[in-house]
Amino acid sequence: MSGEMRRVFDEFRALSDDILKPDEPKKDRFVAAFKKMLNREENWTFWLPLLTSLDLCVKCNTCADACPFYVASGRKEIYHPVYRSDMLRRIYKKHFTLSGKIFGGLVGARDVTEEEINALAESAYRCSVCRRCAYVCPIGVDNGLITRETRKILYELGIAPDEIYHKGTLYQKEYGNATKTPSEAFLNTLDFIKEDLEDEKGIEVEIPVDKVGADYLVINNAGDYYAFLDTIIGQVEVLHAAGIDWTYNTPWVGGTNDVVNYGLFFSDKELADIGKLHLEVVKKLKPKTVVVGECGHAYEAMKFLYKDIYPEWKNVRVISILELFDELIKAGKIKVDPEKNPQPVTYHDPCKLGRLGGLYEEPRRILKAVCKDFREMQPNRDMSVCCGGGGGFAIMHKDDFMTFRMETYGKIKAQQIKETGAEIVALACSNCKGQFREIINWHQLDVEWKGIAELVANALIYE
Amino acid sequence: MNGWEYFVGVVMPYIALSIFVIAAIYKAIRWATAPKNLDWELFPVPESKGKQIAEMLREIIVLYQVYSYNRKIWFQSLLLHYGLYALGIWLVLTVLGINIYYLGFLGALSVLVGSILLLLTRLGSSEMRLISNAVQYLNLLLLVVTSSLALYGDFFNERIRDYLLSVIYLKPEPEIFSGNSAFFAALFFIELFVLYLPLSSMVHFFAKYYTWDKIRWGGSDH
Repeated sequence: MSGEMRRVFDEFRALSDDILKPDEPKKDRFVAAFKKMLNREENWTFWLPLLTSLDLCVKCNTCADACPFYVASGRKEIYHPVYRSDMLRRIYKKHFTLSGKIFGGLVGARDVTEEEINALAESAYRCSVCRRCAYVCPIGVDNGLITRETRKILYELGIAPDEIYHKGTLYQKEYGNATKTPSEAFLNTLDFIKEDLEDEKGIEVEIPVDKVGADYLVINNAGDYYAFLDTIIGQVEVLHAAGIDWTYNTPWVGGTNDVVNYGLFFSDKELADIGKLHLEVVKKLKPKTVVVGECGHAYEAMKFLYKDIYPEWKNVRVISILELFDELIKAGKIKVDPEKNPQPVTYHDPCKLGRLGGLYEEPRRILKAVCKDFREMQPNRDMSVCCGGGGGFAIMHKDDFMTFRMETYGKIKAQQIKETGAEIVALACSNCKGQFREIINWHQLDVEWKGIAELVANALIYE
Repeated sequence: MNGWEYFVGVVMPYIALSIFVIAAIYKAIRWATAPKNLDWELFPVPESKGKQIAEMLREIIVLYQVYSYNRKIWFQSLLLHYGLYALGIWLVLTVLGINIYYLGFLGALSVLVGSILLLLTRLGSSEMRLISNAVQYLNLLLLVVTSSLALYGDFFNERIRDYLLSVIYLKPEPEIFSGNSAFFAALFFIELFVLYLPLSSMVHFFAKYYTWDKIRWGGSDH
């Protein structure tokens, strides 16, 4: 497909011609949507961070070394995080600041062309919003947030990658999950899991579904039931072994059994719409705790964002499946033997669970408990490098986008894996799994990846 | 006293201070009353208010983020910031009647050396040149010129307190320095710096409270 679409920023395209409409004028609409974003009532989610990020950058260049994409690209100037932010900032200064109107280019204000709007749109999908640059910024400027706000403006113009918008949030709203899986098919998958556990391990399990008032409502990325089924099988086995009161749920119109919320990546409206679906599930099933499966961005949305969107959500206890596993091991509700996972194992900190979610020690405690040889990837924890699956990228692959994912973020990650000498990369996030699956193939690494649940299940001791 | 001295010594102090105060208060209120943004923390978040204050102090005292993640500009930045801190302390002490000449002198010298080094660093780095606008160079030049003139014009001499107090008591007496053109040149640039400070990205000296406390740390207890 490469070469079919007109290049508007670099050699890649994240937005199809049908969506970007590169030959259609959009500057005036962009500026109007931007104006709306600068209104504190309209931008009820991130007005202050947007303003401070636009106003306070002193161009100290601290973010450059922190950006994996910029570094891996060979430090191409168009990929510098400040260059990308300035593509939006110059419009802000030109149209919305007094200094920009008076001093123009002296303060970085400049009017932009239609072609530069196209470039800005594509550029907004060259940053995974991993916020490593924000973490190191001495001022507190957040280039990741500027990227997300740019995506929001573009969404107002109907511009968003079809993988996360039309085939993502819109499918989830229409079908109850982004995979368009009806209840019957979902239940069939659960039956398959039961049979598999019985055949492979001789374990008879019950998989509770739609149980009202359960201690734990576990919601996974619906894509995991297709792409990462081994993680789900492991999860079922662990939850069964723990003997706790838990349940999955089926999809319905107005509710969802899909934990993802791709709105987080590009639109507050979509974020809130999907959040409403999750809220309806909680209202219907009244669980004591919502457990987010191995999914990073969903944890961020449910744990940190929904409570300020829907007041009812403040009463919802949300934990990650990592926290649950950690609790189960600590409480002795499951017994594990690290000898059962003898290979060297390393762990990739997903941005959304680590830097954005604060879950640094839980996965390490789990992995040290269930694996004989745990090795740290460098750098890790707060300075972990994004794998390149974040921000929606893991499911974006049109044109030559996969090359972008693999030869930038992916290249760094492949090297880090090699340096650990690990044979298994433990992953706690669906998007990371989607990305690492490709990284391992693309860079021909002699390693395999596993979900945390798989490793825990493999280490289980039955008494 | 000529018209220039009158303007710089009598009119400008109040223009500069008014703009400084109004702009700073406007921005502080605007940010303080911003609708609570969605939690957008970056972890680890200090677990208590005390730890947050300690982290903020670490930032102020050793510019820890710059030290940790951009060592190339740390020493220059530290010189500049320490110079500004020294000048702030000198100003307060002088008004209180304790004029430590060398505190002011060394403060200005530190600002001068720090800003020249930062200017050279910016000019010498292709990446920094790429992302810089004219205003980043002008900001540093303003610091270079202001601190140079303050040193050249002997701004920190023992008579400065009388002038500062006269401004505070709304009876400015620039005639104390009448005929000292170097002093008035220094004073003019200091006034320019003061009024410009809250209008520029240099406002981070207090904006950082909001970007860290309300955004990076989520504005809530952890």
